[in-house]
This record gives sequence, C-alpha cells and structure tokens, in this order.
Amino acid sequence: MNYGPLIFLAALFALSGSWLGFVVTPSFQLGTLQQTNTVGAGLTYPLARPGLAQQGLQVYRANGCVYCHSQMVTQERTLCEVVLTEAGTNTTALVAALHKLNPNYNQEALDAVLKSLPKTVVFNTTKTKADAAVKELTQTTAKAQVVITPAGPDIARGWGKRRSVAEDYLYDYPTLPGAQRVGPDLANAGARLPDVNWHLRHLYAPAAEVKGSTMPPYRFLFELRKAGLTPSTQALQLSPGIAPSGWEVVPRPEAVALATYLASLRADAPLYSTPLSSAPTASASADTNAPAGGANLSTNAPAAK
Amino acid sequence: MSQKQPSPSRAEAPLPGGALDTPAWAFPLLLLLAGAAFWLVVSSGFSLIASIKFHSANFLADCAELTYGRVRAVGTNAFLYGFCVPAGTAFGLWQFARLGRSRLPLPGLIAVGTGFWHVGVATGLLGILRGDLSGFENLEMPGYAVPLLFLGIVVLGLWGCLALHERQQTVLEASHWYSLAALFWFPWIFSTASLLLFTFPLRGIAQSVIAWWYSGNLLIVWMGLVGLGALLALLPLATGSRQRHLALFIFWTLLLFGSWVGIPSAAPLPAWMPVTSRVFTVLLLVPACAVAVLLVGSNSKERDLEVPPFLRFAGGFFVLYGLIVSIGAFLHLDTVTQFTWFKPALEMLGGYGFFGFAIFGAIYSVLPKLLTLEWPYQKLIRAHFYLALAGLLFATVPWFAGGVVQGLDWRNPNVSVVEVSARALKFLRPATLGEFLIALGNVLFLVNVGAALFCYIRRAVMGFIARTIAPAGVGVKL
Ligand code: HEC
Repeated sequence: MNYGPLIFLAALFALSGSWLGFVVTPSFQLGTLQQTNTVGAGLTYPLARPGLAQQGLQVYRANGCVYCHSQMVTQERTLCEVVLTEAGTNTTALVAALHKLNPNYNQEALDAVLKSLPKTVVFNTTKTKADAAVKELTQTTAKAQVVITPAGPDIARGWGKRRSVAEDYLYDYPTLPGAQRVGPDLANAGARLPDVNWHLRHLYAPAAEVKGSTMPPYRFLFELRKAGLTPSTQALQLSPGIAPSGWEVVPRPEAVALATYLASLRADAPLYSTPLSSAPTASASADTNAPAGGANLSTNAPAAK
Repeated sequence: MSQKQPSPSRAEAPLPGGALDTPAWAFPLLLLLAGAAFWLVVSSGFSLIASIKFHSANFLADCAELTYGRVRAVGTNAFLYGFCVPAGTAFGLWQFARLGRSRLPLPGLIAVGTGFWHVGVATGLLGILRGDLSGFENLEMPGYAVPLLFLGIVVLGLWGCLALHERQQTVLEASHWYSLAALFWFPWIFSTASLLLFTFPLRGIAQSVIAWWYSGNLLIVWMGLVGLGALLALLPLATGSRQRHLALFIFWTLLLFGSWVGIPSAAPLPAWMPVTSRVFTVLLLVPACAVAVLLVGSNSKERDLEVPPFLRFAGGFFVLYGLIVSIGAFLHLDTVTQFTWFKPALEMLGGYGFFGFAIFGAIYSVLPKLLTLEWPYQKLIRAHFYLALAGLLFATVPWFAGGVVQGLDWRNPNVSVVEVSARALKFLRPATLGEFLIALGNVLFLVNVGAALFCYIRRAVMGFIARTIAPAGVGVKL
C-alpha cells in the first residue's frame, strides 16, 4: 500500500484549511478594520496614541509586562434596564403603565419613582422586553430609555465597562492582549489611574504604593541623582525610606514614556459592536438613594413584598 | 535503560578507515543535537530564575536584562527554538537517513543548517535579553533573528528531502509520514507568522490571531507530529494493518483539528473565531483517544523488553493533555482557568511531559546506534528520568490546582488583587522546586550528550592518527 500522495494531500488540505480560516480571513476581516464612531457622541474611535505613549508601548513590550498583565476585558452577560427620564404630562396613564410593568409597585414606591427621576423602573430584562416597555411608557408622553450594561467578573472588578473588541487594538503594534493575569487587567488602567506620577512611583517601588504588591520593581527605568539643596523638578515624590537617603530618583525617558502609555490605556467607548449605553445620571443604579420600598422596584425580587 | 550492542546492520558498509563505521551525516546531526541539549539547559536555567522572582520580587531586579519578562521569554524561547525544533528535526532527519544507504549526499548541508539555526537562536535570545522581544507569545524571537532561523530550518529540511529521495525502501512507515509532515509544517507556519508579524505586520488585533494560530500549530500539531512519530518509531507497538490505519487516523485528525486550536474564548474578535477554535479543541478528544487505543494495543509480549521509560510516559502525557484540553473546552472550564497558572501547567504537560519525554526517549535510544558507542554515563539516564518525572509533577500539579483557585478568585470581585496573588504564591513554591528538579535533570542530559560528543570526537581523532601517523600493525589503543 502506498499512502504517500493521499497523506500529502490530506496534510496540505488540513494546513490550508486552517490557514485560510485563521490567517487569510482575519487578514482581510480584521487587518482592514477601520476607525469607527462611538455610539451616541459619534466620536471617531480609536484615535492613535500620542507619540510618547506609543514609545511607552515599546517599553511595555520590551520588558514583558504582558506576561503578568492582560489587556483584554471579558464580559459574560449584558444587563438590560429601562430608565424613566421624564414623567411627561399624563401621570395617570404613566402610573397605570408602570403598574403593568411591575405589579409590585405600591403607591408609595410610585411616588418615590416620580419624585426622583431619572429612575430605573425595569431591571434585568431582555432587549426586546425593554424596548416594548419603553414604547409603552413613551405612549403616555413620558420619556424613557433602555440602558444596556455589560456584566461579568472583570467588569465587577472595575477593570472596564465593556468587553474588549477588535477596534480597541487598531493602532497598536504589537498588540498585547496577554494570556496570564498575575496582576490586574490593564485595558483601562488609564481610566482607573490617570496620574502619570502615580505610575512612575508604582513602577519604581510597587510595594510602596500598593501594600503587599508582588509586582517586581522597575528601578532600572530610573536614575539616582545626588540630591541637591533644592529637589529637582523631575524627581519622584516618594515617601521617606523608599529611595536611598541623600539621593533623588529621576525617571529616565523610558519610564516617562511607559507611564504616559499606562495613563493612556482606556477602552470603554460605547461602540455598536459592544452594546453599552451610559446611564442618564448617577441615580440610575437605584439602590444607593432609594426610598424604603426601593427593593420593590425590582421585577425579579420575589423576596420583596 | 541499557543499550543493546549497536546492530551492525544499521551502518552496513564500513566507511574507508575501518575504525569509523558511522555514516558521514552522523556527526553534523550530533552537533545539531548537542546544541539542542545546550539550549535546553539554558532554558531551564532562565525559567528557574523567572520562577524564583515570584518569591522575591527584588531578586535580580536592578538589571534590565534580567527583568521577569525577558528572563521568562528567554526560558520559553530557548526551550521551543533552542531545544524542541532542532531536536525534533534531528529525529526526523535520522529517520529518513536510515532508510537509505549509509552514504548520503551532502552531509555538509546538515552542518550548514545547524550553524544557521543555532546562531539564529543565540542571536534571538541575546536580542530578547536586550529588550527586543517581539511581544507575541511563543514567537518572541526578534525579527532580525528570524532569517537565520528560517534559512537554517530550510537547509535542514532540504537535506531531509534529499535523504528521503535516496531511500532504498520505497514504502514509508507511519512514523515517517509524521516526521515528513512535521518537516514541512514548521517552515510553513513559521514563515507565515513572521511575514505577517514582522515583515509586513498586519493591522491591529489580526496580529494576535496570527500569533495564536502559530502557537496552536507549533504546540499541538508540530509537537504532536514529532512526538507521536517518535513513539510510533520506537515503542514496541503491535504492527498490522489495523495499527497502520489507526496511525493514519491519528495523523489526519491531529492535523485537521489541531491546526485550528489556540484562540482564547475571550478574545476580542468576531465571535466565529473563538467558537470555531473551541469546537476544534473539543474534537482533539478524537486523536487523544485514538492514541490511547494505540498505546494500549502495544505488544504485551514485548512489553518486558527494555523500553525507555521516557517513551512510555510520553504517550500517557499526550493522552492526558488531550483530555484536559478537550474536556475543558467542552465544559467551558476556560471561563475559570483562562488567564491563570493553568495555562503554563498545560504548556509544560504538553511541551515537556509529552514532547520532551518523547524526544529524550528517542535520543537516548537512537544516538548510541547512530554513533556506535554506549552512553558514557548510563546511570545518569535513569536519574534524568526520575528528576524529570518528579519535576514535572511538582511543577504541573500545583500549577493546575493553583490555576483553578486563582481562576475562582479572579471571578470573585470581593477578593482583592493582592489577595489573589498572595494565594497563588502558595502554589508557586512547590512549582519552583519542580522547575529546579527539571533543570537538574536537563543538566544530566547535557552531560551525557556532551560526553558522547567528546567520545565520538576522540575516537575520530584517534582513528585519524591511527591511519595516518601509525600505519597498520602499530597498535594504537582506541
Ligand atoms: C511578575 C508579574 C508582574 C509583572 C512582570 C508586572 N506586573 Fe504590574 N502588577 C503585578 C501585580 C501582582 C499587581 C497588583 C499589585 C499592584 O498594584 O502593585 C500589578 C499592578 C500593576 C498596575 C496597577 C494596576 C491597578 O489597576 O492597580 C500597573 C499599572 C502595572 N502593574 C503595570 C505594570 C507594567 C507597566 C509592567 C511592566 C513594566 C508590569 N506591571 C509588570 C504583577 C506584575
């Protein structure tokens, strides 16, 4: 039996299959990706990082930060809510509609809702149901909108507002989504920690900024200079005992670039590919300043009576 | 394991000179392997340093060259490109060469390929230490090292084709298909990835897709082909048309399914990509089970024969790896284990447990026949095996367990980041011990290969002296 040609063809077929699927197709589908517009504000997204931050990306690559930090926020669900923003003129119809949407509403709770608009009136529903609810509410001349919030463990940790999407990486070379998280995800590091100086101090001595931090220090990105009578303007404002006494710590250009890059990291623009709408105002999350009957507002809170 | 006396049939026609009855291609092949053994030790040394850094963040922290990221990248790349690729290629070349006459044309090609390859590895690793790592996992080699590596592997592959062309036996065994496919697979994925990542880099996240595709193909398909090829060639498996068909089935399913594996399910990509990748990952169950069937069916009568224990375990680790990967993908366990220590555990199980063991077993049993000499330190082979096995257990078991704990912790927003990393640290202690044992075992391997190289060279030199300076009749002890 001579399987030779058959084996050769089989191997060629297998290899070209995955090559077409995972090399050629992504090259066209993703490699030609263009900027898009954010939902709502319609801003161009993403913008190329400023030059210094781009240099910082290279410092990040060169020192292998990617082995401990991902830049890829995951998301498991989207929560849909309906927020009533304006009561309109026809209060009786509105009250009837609200009652229909949520039989648990008693008079007291309804009053509370109408007094502190905007207010979430339907929780944890699907997009179709939310759209139907909005339609019903707007028929009463009131104004309401659907609020979509991505959810999942990463988002609960505050690592981002939505999952990462292809657009977020458009201008990066190399792209560094990362595969392991020894430390936190950094896709939105700049949104959480916008202060370049914090990043510099943290890079010099992570454990001095975050108690118990196991991140290695990057002292080689800094220079020790004999402290003069007046501290240099570039020197880090470290807490006492961190730098050797009599010396001041001045970031090298790489450190400044890296810190600028870290502060530039933010991937939370609402895009069509990731449904996400910013809540009308802070009170949309209901529970903080909710009245006594607040829990009743939840459609799926059977415990609340 | 002790080696039986080299069978004379393997090197039929004694070469001119009489004393040297090894083919001319044996020496360059030995150099290729010796380089691989050297990089293996380098790799485990650097991985050990990287591992120690977790216990003391200040360890070697003031030197840019030795920062965690670079040290770790040198560790993995010295393993993949320094050890795995040349050792696997050497095994393939040996397989083709022994099909033919002992005098094969152009043995110098192996030397040239070996030179390019190992210089390329050295360039790349030094580049990584300088901070030129590419940022793509499992392909951190800087762009300027790639042409050397590519040239090296192409020249080696060319010689492999030559040897195959010169073969005397026309029908190829199962293990030859595996080696042949591997010989083509690597240059193909390597050139595709380096062209699209370094020469004409794609835009945005498409880069990561290429890098994931490349990693999956290297770690699953290429390693699978080479490692299983070694098992098929050297284990006393039952032979028969059923086994032949099974081997063909494994070959095909591994290529067909394995080449799509590797895109993480959370990847920021259009949904079809991670979904496709997951489906094919689940399907890896098929070749894994088929390998299990093949191994169980191995000839029981011959079981008692001296089979290098490395080879026996390698097959088991392949099956285990396949089961964990495919069942994990089926049950969506990756929502917990992604981004955790589970990943290095899997990579070590596949890379060192399966591939490394298979190649160690192959080298330990093939090299003496090739060089017609005994291993200089027989006892160290056994010691290497136990160190490697213990090291593998100490490293992977805590990593697997720690990965699950860490994954559950990451899912719970009430556990702070510092707590997560503190808890993971407990698992890293035994893992560092495991990496230490592995490094020690690798040193023993290098000692044996180095000593074999020394013996071979000494014998060649003595033979040369015997022939030129002291003509026949004057006794020169070899
Ligand atoms: C060995 C693993 C490791 C490496 C390498 C590492 N980090 Fe970290 N990083 C951590 C850990 C653990 C934390 C959490 C504790 C802390 O905040 O210091 C952290 C935290 C951070 C934070 C704070 C994030 C937040 O949300 O609080 C930033 C920013 C950061 N690292 C940047 C970097 C950069 C830049 C590099 C490369 C120069 C780097 N890290 C390399 C482990 C690492």
